[in-house]
Amino acid sequence: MKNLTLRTKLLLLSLTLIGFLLFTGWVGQSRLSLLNRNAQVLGTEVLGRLLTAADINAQLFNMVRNQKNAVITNDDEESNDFSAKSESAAQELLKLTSQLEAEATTPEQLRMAGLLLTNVQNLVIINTDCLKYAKMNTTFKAKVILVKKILPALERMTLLIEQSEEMTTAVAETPSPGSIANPEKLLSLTQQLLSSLVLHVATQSMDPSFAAIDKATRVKVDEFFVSVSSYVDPHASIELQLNNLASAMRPDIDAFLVASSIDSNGQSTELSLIQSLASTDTTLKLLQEITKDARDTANQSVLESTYTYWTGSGVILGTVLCGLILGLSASVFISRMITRPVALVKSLAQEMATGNLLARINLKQGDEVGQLATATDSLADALTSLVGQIQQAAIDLGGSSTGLGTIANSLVTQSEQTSSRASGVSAAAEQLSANITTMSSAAEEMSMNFASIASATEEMSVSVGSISSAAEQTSSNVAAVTTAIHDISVSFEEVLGNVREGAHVVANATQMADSATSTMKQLDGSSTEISKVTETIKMIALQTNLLALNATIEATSAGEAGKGFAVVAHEIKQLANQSAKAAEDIATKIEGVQLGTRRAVAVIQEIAGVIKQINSTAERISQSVEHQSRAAQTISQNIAQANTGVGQIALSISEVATTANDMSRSIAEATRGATDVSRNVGEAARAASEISDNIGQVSHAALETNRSSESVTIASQTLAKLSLELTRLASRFKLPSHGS
Amino acid sequence: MLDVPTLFCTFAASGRLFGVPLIDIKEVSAETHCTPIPHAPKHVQGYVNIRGQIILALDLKRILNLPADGRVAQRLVIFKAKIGPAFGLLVDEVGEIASVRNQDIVADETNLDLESPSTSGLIRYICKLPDQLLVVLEAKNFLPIVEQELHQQSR
Repeated sequence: MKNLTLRTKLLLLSLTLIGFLLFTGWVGQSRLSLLNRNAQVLGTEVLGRLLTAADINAQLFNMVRNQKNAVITNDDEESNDFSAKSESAAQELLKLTSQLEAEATTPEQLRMAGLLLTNVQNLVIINTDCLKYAKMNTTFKAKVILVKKILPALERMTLLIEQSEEMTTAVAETPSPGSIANPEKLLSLTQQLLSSLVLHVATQSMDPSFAAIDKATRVKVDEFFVSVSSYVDPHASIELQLNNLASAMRPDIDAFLVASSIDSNGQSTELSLIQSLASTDTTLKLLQEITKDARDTANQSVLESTYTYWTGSGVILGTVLCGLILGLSASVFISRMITRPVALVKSLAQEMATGNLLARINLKQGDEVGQLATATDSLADALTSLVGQIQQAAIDLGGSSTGLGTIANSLVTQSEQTSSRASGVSAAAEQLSANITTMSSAAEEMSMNFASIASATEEMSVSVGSISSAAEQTSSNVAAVTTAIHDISVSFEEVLGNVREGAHVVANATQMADSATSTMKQLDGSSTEISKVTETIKMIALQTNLLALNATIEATSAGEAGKGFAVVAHEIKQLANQSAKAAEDIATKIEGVQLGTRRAVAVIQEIAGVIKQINSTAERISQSVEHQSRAAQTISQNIAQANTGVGQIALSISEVATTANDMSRSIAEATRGATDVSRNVGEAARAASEISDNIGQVSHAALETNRSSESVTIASQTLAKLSLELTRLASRFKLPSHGS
Repeated sequence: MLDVPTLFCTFAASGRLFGVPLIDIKEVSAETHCTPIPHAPKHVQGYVNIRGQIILALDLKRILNLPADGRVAQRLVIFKAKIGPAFGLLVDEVGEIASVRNQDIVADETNLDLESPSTSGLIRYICKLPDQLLVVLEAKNFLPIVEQELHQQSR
């Protein structure tokens, strides 16, 4: 839910409400259709069934009434009329009952309708039977036959019999041919016949006694006719008349008997009164049941309708209430989901405006507002990292400036050392100069000594003859030479010592120069690193500028809420510009330092070259001096030999001459060596002065280095100040503790 | 026209200062690497991918017929999508945010006399800043100009 977009949320809300609406509508629709169905049940089914039942009732009564009428009436025509009506009513009744059965919907109704149909069919059969009998109307017919035909016939017979009796009485005791033999018996038979016929017609055929009566009546009839036919005197007119009457009456009596036996009226009445009534009662009871069932169905339908109405309205009201509550809560929830993060973003922006970058929203919500919150968080993150980077850069800058200061200090120290070494070299050079001067004087002295040797030798050569006298002088001269040579040796050793000291100083100076060069190179490397750092700072400042611009754009988009943030963004932009300017300044300063350093390196390398030159010159001096030393030793040896030779002069003049020659050669050599020494000394003097010059240059370079170092120091101090300023500005923002 | 001081983002192209209302700008990006579009009008430099979003980059110098001074565009000023499809202007560099008031406006549509009718809708007015003049552009008319160019090209 949290990570859905606002549109989806609103869509969900709308869908929920629409869903409730649809549900309400559906429930209403279904309830209404239920009500409609109930009404239809009430209207068509129940009402139809009730009407059908009423129709059945009416037809039933119509049928029964007509049946009764048909039974009651004696007129055949009327009877037929009524029975036709009853039949039609019965057919109608059957049809209605079948209709009722066809219209039955429930098994109960079907059962009752089936029962009713069976009953009605039964009733109709009974009715048909009843009507059949009613149409026959036999009892009435029998009565008619009895009254209209039999009774007059019997009366006439009675009359005839009575006439016969009178005749008999009148004629005599003997039977006359025209009278009846036994008239009393016949009369009583006639009376019995009449009474039995009346009884026959009065007794209903359903009566249990009817069979006996019928049998008795038939016996009586047979008896009567037998009795009548016994009078067979064809001549007797009465008998003839009686026989004629009897034979004429016989079909009537048979017809009467048949009619009376059938007793249609009685049967029909019986049927109508007992079976039909019972069947009608059953039918009516069934009809009542059906009506009651229909009423029950109606009542149930009404109850169901009421129930449907109440449940429907309950469900609709409940759904509407639920929808309202759910919709309200959802809208409150969604509006809270929107407003709360916005308030959080606002408070975060205010926090950021006051410089607190620690605050975060950390809202786990994926909709637009959540994205806004996340974007604000990431903005705060970016600001945090940016300010952290600025702080780091400031700290780095401070470290770099400190390193620069250290390097500058070491440079100053180094240059001072160089200066002091240079002055040491200067002193050594001066000493060298003095030594060289001493050497020069020694060499001059040596030269002079050589001259005196030469003159002595010449003198020796010239006055070989007077060697004896000159030998002593020679000896003294040789001693002087030896002394002089010894002096020279001492001078040489002194020179050698000075040269070695000079070489040592030179080596020291070379080492110092190398050290200075490497320090300078280190400084150069540091400057390059600082340049890189300043480049990085410039880049960061540019990026910060762009970021601040985008932040301003965002703040402007945020409208009134972004005003405070816009101020912060502006300040950051200014800070970035200031940083870029400071970095530019540092770069310029560093370039100056680099230039000075490179110049110092060049100068120091020049010094190193010069010192190497001095070194080589001093080595050459050393070689020359050693050469001279060897020459002086050779001289010394020669002189020692000369000394020995002088001692042996007396022994061999030629030996002396040879020795003198040798000596002459040696002296020439020594002279050449002395000249060499002189030349080398001159060279050394020139080198020394050159050293002095170079030393001066070194001093100058050292001074320049000093100046550059001071400039570097100033630059590094500016840098340190800027980094402090940067740190102060950055520290306005509260950052997570691990960042600092 | 401007009741309250309005903020404009200024940017430079061919040494001239232009500006658009800050409220119309989505962001300013240092990403100017364009993917060329074949058969596109000459105004269109290509597509630029800004954090996965594809932005149409237009060359301001070509649109305004500014002299090419050989400088490569360093910044892309991206406009908000409410003006139309997302697009950006390639500019040499982005300057300060300028606040302009009504009395600073020295010329607008009514008294601007432009030689080229194709760029007439692009310049809204000219404002006087303390040290130079600011040409305020109408961002929403850039894309129609490009479309017009496209139609002319296809014809």
